[in-house]
Amino acid sequence: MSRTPNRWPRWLVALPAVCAVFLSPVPSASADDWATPLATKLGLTLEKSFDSSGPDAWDPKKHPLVFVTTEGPGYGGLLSGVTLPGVAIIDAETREVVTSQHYDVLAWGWKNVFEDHGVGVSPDGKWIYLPTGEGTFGTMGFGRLLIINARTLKLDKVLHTNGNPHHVKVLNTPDGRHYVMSYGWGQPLFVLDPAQDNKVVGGLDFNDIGIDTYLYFASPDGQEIIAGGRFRDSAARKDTFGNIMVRISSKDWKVIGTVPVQEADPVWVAFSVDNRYAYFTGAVTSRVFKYDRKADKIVGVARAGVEGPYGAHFGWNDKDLYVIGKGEESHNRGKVVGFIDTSLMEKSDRPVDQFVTNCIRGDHGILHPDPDANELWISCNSSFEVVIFDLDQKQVTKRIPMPNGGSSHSGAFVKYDGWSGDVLSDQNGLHGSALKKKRELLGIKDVGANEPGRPPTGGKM
Amino acid sequence: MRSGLGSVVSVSAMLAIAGSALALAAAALPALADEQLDLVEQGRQIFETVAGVGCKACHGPFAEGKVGPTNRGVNEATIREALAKVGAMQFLREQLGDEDIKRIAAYTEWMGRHLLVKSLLKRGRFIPDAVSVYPGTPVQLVIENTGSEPATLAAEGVPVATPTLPARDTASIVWTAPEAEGKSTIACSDCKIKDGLLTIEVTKTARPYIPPPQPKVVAKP
Repeated sequence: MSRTPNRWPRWLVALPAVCAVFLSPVPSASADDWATPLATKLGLTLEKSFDSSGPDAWDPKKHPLVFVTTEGPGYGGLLSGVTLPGVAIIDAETREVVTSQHYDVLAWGWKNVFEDHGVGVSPDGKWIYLPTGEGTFGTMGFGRLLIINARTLKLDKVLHTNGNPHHVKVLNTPDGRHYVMSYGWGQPLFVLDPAQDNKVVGGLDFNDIGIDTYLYFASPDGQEIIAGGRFRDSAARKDTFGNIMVRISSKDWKVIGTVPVQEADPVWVAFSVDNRYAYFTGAVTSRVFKYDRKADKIVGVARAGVEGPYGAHFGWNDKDLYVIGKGEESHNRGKVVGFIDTSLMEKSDRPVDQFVTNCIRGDHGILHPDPDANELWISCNSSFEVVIFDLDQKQVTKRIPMPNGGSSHSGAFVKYDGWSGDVLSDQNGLHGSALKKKRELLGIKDVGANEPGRPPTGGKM
Repeated sequence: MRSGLGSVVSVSAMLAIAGSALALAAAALPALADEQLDLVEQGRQIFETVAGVGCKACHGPFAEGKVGPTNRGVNEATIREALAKVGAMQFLREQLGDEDIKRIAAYTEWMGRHLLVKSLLKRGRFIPDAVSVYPGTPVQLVIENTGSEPATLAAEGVPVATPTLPARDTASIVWTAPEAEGKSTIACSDCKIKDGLLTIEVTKTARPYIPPPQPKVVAKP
């Protein structure tokens, strides 16, 4: 592993032999002990284990609120020069890079590194999950999920996945379970329990679902996960407009319904915090669909305001929806954000506005957990930075270059009290006390769980 | 410098208390008769609430333009023409009677006679923190408190009737800039960051306010 201080020259980071420490596994956990029937069914195995203990890599007392993001190679013809998968930690108040760390997976004989397309943190802040692998989209038929000790930034586990893992995010269920959920290209949903050695405790395969699905998002009450149907073959899916969203129960991981949607590639799902509505972005038609969860039907459609929308995110008012113009299914060089007033979607299909961020291939925005900040932190896969978009001023107010010039790809805000952490916001929206705060500000009551509570310990650190 | 007439009115508070905003209109439009002021205030309420979303949903909370164009200054004939020709406004036809349209027009015309100046109050700072207006200009100064806590406004040169601006609310300060050049200021006295100040400079170097011309309505399905 290599901890890379701020602003080291890019060439130095690109030389894993110079700045990366060989990652040698230790027998701290056996694959047999880790495996569960569900893991076997979903094609997940524990490939490597490490002793991740060691000196603290950073000081949470100095940085009690941080933004954890990736720093990877980039992809799709716009490469960063960084050759290894990595994470970067940014102080969410001062906006300074705290530290970064890369993982020398090439020392394991990998021929190249698949861009980290996301990052997640366990609800208790103890573990960071970094999707990676070899090859490119689907070429290998498998990938890896790195599990990193957030305190030492050392590797703890490497999971071998059935497809390239994509995203990782918090899942707090109504009955008080605090999980992380992940999925990928060719890899259906799997759910890990950080308190049980990150074993697979939930998920379902494509046969259970009945269709290939792409991304998965949990409702704010944690009861339900909605996934977008998507043909794996990109040529075929462009003309497949009769599509569905799939509703999955977090109680027993069973499909509980589908929602027809006239979109070949539904991507993102954003929920209102009262659990009433879900909004789907459609990359091919460049539209946003408003789904009334109570009425179980699409009640409004609007142009996204951008070409090839990807992420869609509310600020703190739950009315204005910001759509990240990644250029998905299109140019894939997006650099704008669309703006939709969701209260108008039943009456008008027009977006309100579009804002230029020059965040090249921006994909997701993560809402800052301070309501007075009201900012989206947008990861930029190809301008190698995080840009802060102020939702009050409707403009970029800060650009944070990645410390080694790598690609940023998603993120999570984590509040630390010592080494006791609490994920307040990730690509699935607000969690815990931040979610509760938003409901209070909006006067929303009695809308289900996913309330703050001290998550169970995530094991050794 | 000579300060003009003015007041601060919280939009949400105005909605809650019928007729409470008469003070705003009375202060801003001393030349208008009481019945005209009534009409302006009634129009404002319809503008903000009709069909559950209000005209403001498409045209902006101060008619500055949003999905729909600005309609500061539009008259009754233009509103009627838009209702007849613009498809996206069809749902309002049955919601608005003749008298309602007259009231809305009174409000939009009233807005058209005032220069709209907006500033955000965010984390104790005004954004922008300086504006300039031409002497004698009727001004609608809108301050939006973006924070999750109330803010107390302390003004010099601009009379502030209701200094407390609730969290995530907007104040509309209506006044007429004095004829003499000079500066007025508004501060947030209880914000965490204390150095924030909004300076309103009355200067002949500012662009004189010209009320917008009557827009042409383009038919849209």
